Amino acid sequence: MSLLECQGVRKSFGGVRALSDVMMSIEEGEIVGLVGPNGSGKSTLINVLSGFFPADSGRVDFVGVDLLGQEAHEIAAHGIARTFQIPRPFATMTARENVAVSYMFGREKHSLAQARVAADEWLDFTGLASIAESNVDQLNLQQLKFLELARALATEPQLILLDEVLAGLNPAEIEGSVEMIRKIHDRGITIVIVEHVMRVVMSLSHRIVVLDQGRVIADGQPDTVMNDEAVISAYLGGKRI
Amino acid sequence: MNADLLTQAAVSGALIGGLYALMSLGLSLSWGALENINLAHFMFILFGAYVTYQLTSSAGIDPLLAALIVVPLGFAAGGLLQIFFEWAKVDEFKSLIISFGLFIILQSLARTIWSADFRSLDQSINPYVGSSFTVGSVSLQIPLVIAFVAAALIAFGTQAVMGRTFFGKAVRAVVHDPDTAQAFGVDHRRVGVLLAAIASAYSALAGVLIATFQSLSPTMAVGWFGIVFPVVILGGLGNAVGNFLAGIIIGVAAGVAAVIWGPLSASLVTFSIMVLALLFRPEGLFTRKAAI
Amino acid sequence: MKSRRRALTGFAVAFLILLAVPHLAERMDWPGFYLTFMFTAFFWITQSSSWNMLTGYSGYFSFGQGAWFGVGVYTTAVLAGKQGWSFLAALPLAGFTALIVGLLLGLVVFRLRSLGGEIFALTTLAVAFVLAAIARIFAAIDGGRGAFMTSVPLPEFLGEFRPAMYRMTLVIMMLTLVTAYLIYESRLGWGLFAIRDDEQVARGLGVPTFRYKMAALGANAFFGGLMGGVWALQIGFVTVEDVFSIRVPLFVILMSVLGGTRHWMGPVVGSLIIFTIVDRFNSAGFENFNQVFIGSLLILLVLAVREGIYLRIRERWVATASLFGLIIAASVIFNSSSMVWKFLWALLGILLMALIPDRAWQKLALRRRPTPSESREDRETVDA
Repeated sequence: MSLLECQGVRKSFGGVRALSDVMMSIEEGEIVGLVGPNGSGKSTLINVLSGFFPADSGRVDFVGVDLLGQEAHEIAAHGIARTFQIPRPFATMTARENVAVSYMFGREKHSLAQARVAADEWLDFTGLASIAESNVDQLNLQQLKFLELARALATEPQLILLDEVLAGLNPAEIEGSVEMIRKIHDRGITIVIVEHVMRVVMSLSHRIVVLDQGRVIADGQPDTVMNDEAVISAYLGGKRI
Repeated sequence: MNADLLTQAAVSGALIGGLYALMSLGLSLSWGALENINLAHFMFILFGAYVTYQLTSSAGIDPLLAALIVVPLGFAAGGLLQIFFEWAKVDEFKSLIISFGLFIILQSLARTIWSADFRSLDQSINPYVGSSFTVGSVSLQIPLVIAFVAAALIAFGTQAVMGRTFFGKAVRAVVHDPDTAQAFGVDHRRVGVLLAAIASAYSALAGVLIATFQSLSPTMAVGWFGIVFPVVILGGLGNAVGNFLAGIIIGVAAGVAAVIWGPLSASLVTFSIMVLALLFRPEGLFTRKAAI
Repeated sequence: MKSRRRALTGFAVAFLILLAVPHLAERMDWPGFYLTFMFTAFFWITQSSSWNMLTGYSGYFSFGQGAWFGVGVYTTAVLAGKQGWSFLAALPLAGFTALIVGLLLGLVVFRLRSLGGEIFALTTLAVAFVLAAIARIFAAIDGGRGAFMTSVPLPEFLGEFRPAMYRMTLVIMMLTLVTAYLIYESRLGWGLFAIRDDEQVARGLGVPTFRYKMAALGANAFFGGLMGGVWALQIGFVTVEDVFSIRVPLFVILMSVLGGTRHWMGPVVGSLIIFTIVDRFNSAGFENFNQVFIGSLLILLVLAVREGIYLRIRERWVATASLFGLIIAASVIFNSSSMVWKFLWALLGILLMALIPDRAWQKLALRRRPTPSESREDRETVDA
């Protein structure tokens, strides 16, 4: 059975259909790239999967549980974590406290005392140990993005949804981030990555799902998908250069 | 229940609802368009009323003519406060607390100047109070009719200005996208100060109209919370015509409730309407979701 | 968990010492108003600390303290004052009635996703109005005639009126503070802090935001109502205008904002300072000046010291303690006015010291520049 399975997921905003009949499945241990032109519904799908927006209809099965209609915090407890494109750290807390809070809640409930220890492990893992004490306003963009990762990991997820973790980073930082994503995958965590930097998605992903106008138009091996006529016309407006 | 009594209550309620709308418009504009929850508007109303009282009783000016002095004062005060808000980079939340502080200071100032006793204009210098005419079996109080007409003109006038003029477009641009507005040469600070000044002038005018027929006391401003917030929420933030219609709804509901269940029930009814509005139409009854 | 045990021991010791004060007062023949001063301070500390459990911790700004207080006052006023219940039987119901009203409000407002913090604030303001209207309408509660508490008998073991008030308010204050501390040091507290910083993200990380906000609102209403229940005795003749006035919410906001809403101790410090100042103003005949003073202070604080003075005092604790001791000693030597005045001078000294901005302070205290790890707030709570 797939780890996650979407069937006929629909979502509209005031008459504008953002997702129509999305069919997609994610196998355990995969890295899946979720791509598509701007406004194709990638972010909406992430928001639906993580429970930030309720879907209008359809089914989302995660290890046999129907997630549709569940609250975001319940979905987190099932083992799905997400990051934000623009990092949203808890502004009045230090880096360590950010991660500790996440560990206290997340998939299993832990006490404050346990969280103190675990937070440092995750900061270590993401290479943020040196800035554990810093207030988040002192961190740079890459550190904030890694803090997002540490915070998501601290919830002990089975599946992690990465929303444009590379956006705004320079090439060297992208390199580091790609390595980090591989490292996360090595821990046995399934990853869905929404990304604009095609080169990276192609090299990282086992499989690519392409969305256009709220529906899945291609799904398969990176090379095959990127040569698909429908995908090319979706991206390039029908003209092949 | 006497049907005439109910009709009278509904008509008077609708008329006074116009006044409620005018009292609420300043706060609604400042909340909706400037993102300041400016409780000082209650004080602009209160001081508008008291200054009118003072001008009329010591200088013998007709209370409505006093508006020529009171309204510019309100305009200036609101503009200055907005300049202060801009200078202090006040967000929505700070504006609530700071203007709450101002509310308390000014209320206490009003008590120091005019005492805590009720003050009202003497009949000899106030031609409006107590005068009324009848239509069928319903009697219409002149000061309420004046207030209603003024409120209606201002509501529709404001809406027209907001919808059609450069200033209106500038305001909307500033609300939706200050950076772009800036790029097109709209100085959001100047637009904000002007709008805040106009909003405060409306509040001051509401004060003038109140002085023509009500007794004044410094504590009455707290009582207005029960009217103004339901109207603002129901009408939709920054929506002048919605605000006017909401004022009438609240006025009629409070008036009819007072006749049926006694005057004390009025605030229960208005707040219940507000809670229902929050539950089912948080964006206001008369606002489409995308509007300001 | 060592720190928690130490803190709870601290609470127990403080409780026992404060419990001994009435005996001491009797033996040393202190003026009666000392006790009144102290239990009024307990009242304000309880009100502001309970308010802070909701607003300081979760960030949902409430004007509703007057409502919880008022429900508590009227619960004992009706049950003990009108129905003849024994006071101690009626008292817990003051807390529980407020709790129920609070949870009903929460059920309405926290279910609304689209509801911003500002609308929440205004709704809490409205609740006091609605409750006041209900009290005025129903004769069983008030009916516009007020309610007498003056002839309600108190159990003998509590002693005379003043010591009895002192003991009851002390117990409720300690319960409130221990609760505030325990929330602060628990998952509930950290979940609320996460909600305060970014509610959506908190929910995404697994914080059950609805339940947590209800818990915070419930705790706020319960302790505010419980203390209100006792306070009905102090008011004596209970009227709607008095009880549901803007006074209680205004003061708790000011006290907590002054002391700082980020830490459970903030409201305690803020309450002591504001209450002492206002009390002395009143006794010196400046009653009208109070509102102007409070309004100005509120504006100044919001603009200047957002984090509140408690954290600054804690950072500068050596200077604080010395200054406090120095002023008390000086006022003992140079004048013979009452202890409360001396306390006021000492608190004003601390307040002024705390208002010195950090940068200026570091220039003053050249010898001891705080290292970065010392200058941050709340550090010990999550440090490994």
